[in-house]
Amino acid sequence: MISLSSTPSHSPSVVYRKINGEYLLIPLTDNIADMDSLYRLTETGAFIWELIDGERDISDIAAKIVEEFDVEPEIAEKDALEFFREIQEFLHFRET
Amino acid sequence: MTVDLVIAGRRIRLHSREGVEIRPDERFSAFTAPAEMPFAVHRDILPETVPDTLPQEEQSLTGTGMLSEDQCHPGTGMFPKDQCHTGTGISPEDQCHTGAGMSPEDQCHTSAGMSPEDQCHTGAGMSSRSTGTFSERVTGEDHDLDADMVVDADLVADADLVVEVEPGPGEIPASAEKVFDAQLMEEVPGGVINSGEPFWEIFSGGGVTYARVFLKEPERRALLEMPNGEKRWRIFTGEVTGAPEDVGVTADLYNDRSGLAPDNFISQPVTGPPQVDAGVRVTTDSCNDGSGLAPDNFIASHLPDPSQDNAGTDYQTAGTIAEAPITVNPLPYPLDGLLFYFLFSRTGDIMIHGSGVSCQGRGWLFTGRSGSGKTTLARIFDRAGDSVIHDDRLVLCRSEDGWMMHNTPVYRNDEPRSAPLDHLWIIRHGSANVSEPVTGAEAVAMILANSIQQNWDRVAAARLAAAADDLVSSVRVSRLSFLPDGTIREYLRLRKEEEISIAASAAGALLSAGKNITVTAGGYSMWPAIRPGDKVEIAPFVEGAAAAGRIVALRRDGGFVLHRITRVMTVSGRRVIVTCGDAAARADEPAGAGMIAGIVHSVTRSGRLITPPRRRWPRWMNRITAAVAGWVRG
Repeated sequence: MISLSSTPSHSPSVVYRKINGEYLLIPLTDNIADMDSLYRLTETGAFIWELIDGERDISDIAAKIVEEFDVEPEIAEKDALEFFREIQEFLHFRET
Repeated sequence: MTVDLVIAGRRIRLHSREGVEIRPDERFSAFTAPAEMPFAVHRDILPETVPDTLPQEEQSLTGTGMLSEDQCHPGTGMFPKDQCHTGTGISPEDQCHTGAGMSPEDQCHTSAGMSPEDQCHTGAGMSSRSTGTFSERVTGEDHDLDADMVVDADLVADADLVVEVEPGPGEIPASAEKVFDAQLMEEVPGGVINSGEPFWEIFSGGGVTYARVFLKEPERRALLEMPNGEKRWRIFTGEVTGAPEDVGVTADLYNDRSGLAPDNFISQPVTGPPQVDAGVRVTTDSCNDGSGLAPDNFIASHLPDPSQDNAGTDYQTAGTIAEAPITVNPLPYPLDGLLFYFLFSRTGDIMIHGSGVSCQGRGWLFTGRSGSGKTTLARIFDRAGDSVIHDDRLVLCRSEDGWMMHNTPVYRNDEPRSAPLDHLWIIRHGSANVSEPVTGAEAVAMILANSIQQNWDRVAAARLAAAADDLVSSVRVSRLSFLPDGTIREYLRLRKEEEISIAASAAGALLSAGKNITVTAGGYSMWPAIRPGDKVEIAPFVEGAAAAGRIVALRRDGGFVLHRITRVMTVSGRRVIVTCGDAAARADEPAGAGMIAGIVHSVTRSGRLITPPRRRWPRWMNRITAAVAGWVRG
């Protein structure tokens, strides 16, 4: 279960490319049935994506969001958790 | 013998040893080109001159503008380091290392266990037997090994790809891993179903990618063998299955003396029109449904047990066959599409599901899901006398003059057609003709969603994304809803001619003259900072005023768009400004200061002057669900 103390790191199972401040995520797959979706991270998602370094946990990342954006810490944490839950298949997580 | 096909500007050289006649079916007639091989001159080339040229040729195959270095510098105004995330396995270089444990160069070295120089001398992994046979064809007499080496290098020199065509079964090493499995997809009323029948499979191992294809008539498994990073591949046309002779099949099976030669293995002499694979040839009607799926006549039946491996099959090569000349169709469907796909993937091209037309010198490509109207649009332009490049699938290649679109002969008899690409439209049927621009990651995603992807291969997936990124940086992309009548042609034609808005020009002139202007906001892109009906005063923009958080008026078709600056950066000494609507899901394309007409000075709502709030925290992600783009996937 992903929590604020989970530390995300990038996974080799996804190819990603930065385009005009956004990220396109391309999941690698071995079956045509799974090859049906791409993900696009907007500039805000890209901001979070670039904070993933295998060292920061999600609460650290939420703190960075608060520094950058006009957002309350509770909302930043909630949104960061939601973000990572939504794209968890593209990342590895460890508990700290 | 040697047969050259030129498809989407790429020269594919099919080559066979003596006694094996290559006869592509009639779809390829107009794509067959005379081989450009000045043998008389090349025979004088010393072997030591060859290694200087071959590695360069190899680069042209794997790169063509899409080499890893280029991927880092696609000319889209991005920082190279942004696109090359070292330590995450995402930079093209890293991908090469991650994907197969070695770089393409390493793979090249490993695949044949020798240096490129050595490969050159031995035909880059081809058997010396085939090399010798080729030299015999050229000169009519036997040669020593050195002479063979020279001719063999010539075979590669002016082609983008050389494919050795071998009758009989190929072999996938047991150490190779299956990385992708495509079943035959069948289109049924209301959708598409997976038949569960094997169609083709991809294996990878030892620096070689293998595509095993299940062909129908005659039932057999063909094999395409593609050493990574090399421009010499092999096709094994396959052993026939289901007959008693299947056990311990040998090349004799295709010998006329057996009396069991399948339809497309014709004993010489052959006269009359080229023989085609009747059972696997696709007609326009049967495949022009826009689905990208195999037509019904590709439903495989009585297929061999997929678990049965070719490994260990006892087959013979040259010796037996040379005694009884045979004719083979080297590119039956879907082997042809797979070969083209892998070639175009490696050359950094894009195979896309769409219809392309050339209207008054402008190349327009309409892409979209099955049923979105690709064929309808092709018909509309065709009736108006425009040139239709293809109405279902196209190959997009970058040339010195920009991106070009080409047809291929995969689905029917055709002639080579191409046009420079001016605008790419992502289409759907609508109740009116309406277009809106799409840029950046969204445009790339939409192109990928309608392209043939190879998402089991990290390097290929990254290369395709890089190609699409490059495409959207030089070709405009728009969404287009259209009415299925002739009005859409006129709409697009006029729209292209009247892209300068008089209103925007007038307002821009006022700002340029140093005057403030007041406009009434009409959209929601800056909600809640600016709402429809707000009176927005815009002041002339001065360079120093660009700072993150400021709201600016961007020049757009027909007027202005008010968006907030999110970032100001310097790229190659040039100031680049990134903007985004507060309520928009995506950022605008980074622009120079010239795209900014003015800066928001004040906002008045219901007669009260208000201060626009700081940037809000937007939703960050949009999932883009893409249709599976068909083509060679079945």
